[in-house]
Amino acid sequence: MFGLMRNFYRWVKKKNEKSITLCLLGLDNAGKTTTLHRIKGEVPENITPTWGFMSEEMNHGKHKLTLFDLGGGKNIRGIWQNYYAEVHGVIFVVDSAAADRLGDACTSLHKALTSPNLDGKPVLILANKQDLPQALKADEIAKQLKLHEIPNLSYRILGCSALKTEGNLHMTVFQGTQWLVSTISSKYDQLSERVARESAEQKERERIEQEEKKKRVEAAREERRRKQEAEEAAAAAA
Amino acid sequence: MGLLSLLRSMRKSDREVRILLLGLDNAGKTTILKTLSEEDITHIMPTQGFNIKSLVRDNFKLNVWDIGGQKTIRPYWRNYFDQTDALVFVIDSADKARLEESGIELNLLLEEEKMAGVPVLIFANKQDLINAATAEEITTSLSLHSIRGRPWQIQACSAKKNEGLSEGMEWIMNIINSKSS
Ligand SMILES: Nc1nc2c(ncn2[C@@H]2O[C@H](COP(=O)(O)OP(=O)(O)OP(=O)(O)O)[C@@H](O)[C@H]2O)c(=O)[nH]1
Ligand SMILES: Nc1nc2c(ncn2[C@@H]2O[C@H](COP(=O)(O)OP(=O)(O)OP(=O)(O)O)[C@@H](O)[C@H]2O)c(=O)[nH]1
Ligand SMILES: [Mg+2]
Ligand SMILES: [Mg+2]
Repeated sequence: MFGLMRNFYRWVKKKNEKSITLCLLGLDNAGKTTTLHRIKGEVPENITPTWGFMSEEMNHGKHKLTLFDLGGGKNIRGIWQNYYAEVHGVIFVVDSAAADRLGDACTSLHKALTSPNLDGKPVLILANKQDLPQALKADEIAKQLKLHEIPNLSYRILGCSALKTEGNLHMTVFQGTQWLVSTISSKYDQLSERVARESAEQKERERIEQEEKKKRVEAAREERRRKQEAEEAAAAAA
Repeated sequence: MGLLSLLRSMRKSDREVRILLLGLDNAGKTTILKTLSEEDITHIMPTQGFNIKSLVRDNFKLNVWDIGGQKTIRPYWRNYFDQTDALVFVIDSADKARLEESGIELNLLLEEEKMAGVPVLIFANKQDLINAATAEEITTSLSLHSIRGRPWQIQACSAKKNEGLSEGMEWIMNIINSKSS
């Protein structure tokens, strides 16, 4: 009897546990990696620019959270789209003190959120670096990012400081993450079905790409070998 | 940052750190190792076996292994996989004809069981040459985006001019420090 009860509780617990994958997007220097450290409960230090990918796992309440941190520099941004299929939601980080880069941030955000594998997924926008005196407030950032022009947008925008704890400006990072996780949790079945389907499609595309690449490399090797043989034959004849 | 200052910035712990330098022949692995060790790079020959650079400070030891990349010796790479803390994969960015071949070799490496989870730094070397592919082109050509289950970073560099090497090593140091904490 007790065994049965225990199994039941275990089943309920398992059923409530959800694996949620998020990605951090935003221009270089926006504060994505700093935000990642903050969400993990670490003090952000020794952070260098990201020119690639890093993934971190953590427990968030009863959920297992996986966060993808990607490089935001102009020449690495192209990789973002390859991760969209796998994520349930997005954290988009903006440097609120870099007014001259908001146009660029707006373009990147719109491009990301209208792509087929992200369209309609929940987005937390962090108007970061609120500790800096020249930082624009979250509602001004919302305006400049033209959020109302994005179709199917389920979002929240919050001002925060991922770096500084003065005035509790870092706390909104946690509140925002909480909002994002519970939003995803509330439509988890539908979202995770989509993630599973689209990730499988993405994997298949990558597999085909890889096969084609292998063929090209073999052909190139063969071509080099033939050339070398021809040269050797010509040298021997001379 | 040379290897010595890299060693200094490692968190003190009673252990050994092992970094593996791999990549096709002529990529610049030995030149990178020598430059980081502040040694002369004028007479470097293709590596037939391996070079190792070991540095010790207190109880802490840093070993960097540089293995020859010629096709005939690539099958021996696997003899060096044990206990690797970070993989540095070096690319001759000017050898565009062999970029995809580099990618295939990298994928084979990452599929190895012993390499599971090992962070990988890609050095896009020889950026001083005018026909060098950019880090962006290399990222695409090598399909770096399909790497999962480990952190990766691409760093444009020139071993000859000692540019970009310290940024790459700093990334490795951060990754290793964050893992050991
Ligand atoms: N003042 C202030 N600085 C911040 C804040 N968040 C991040 N920074 C700083 O901004 C710089 C960039 O932060 P990162 O976290 O590396 O930015 P990123 O978005 O990951 O940048 P890439 O990896 O290049 O895409 C670092 O010097 C951080 O210390 C913040 O809230 N306030
Ligand atoms: N222009 C330029 N040449 C470089 C650079 N790095 C290495 N080289 C040259 O590339 C050639 C090969 O360099 P190595 O360091 O021997 O390459 P390796 O990867 O160790 O090659 P194997 O030992 O055969 O696997 C040498 O002629 C180097 O001088 C660079 O940054 N720029
Ligand atoms: Mg970053
Ligand atoms: Mg060599």
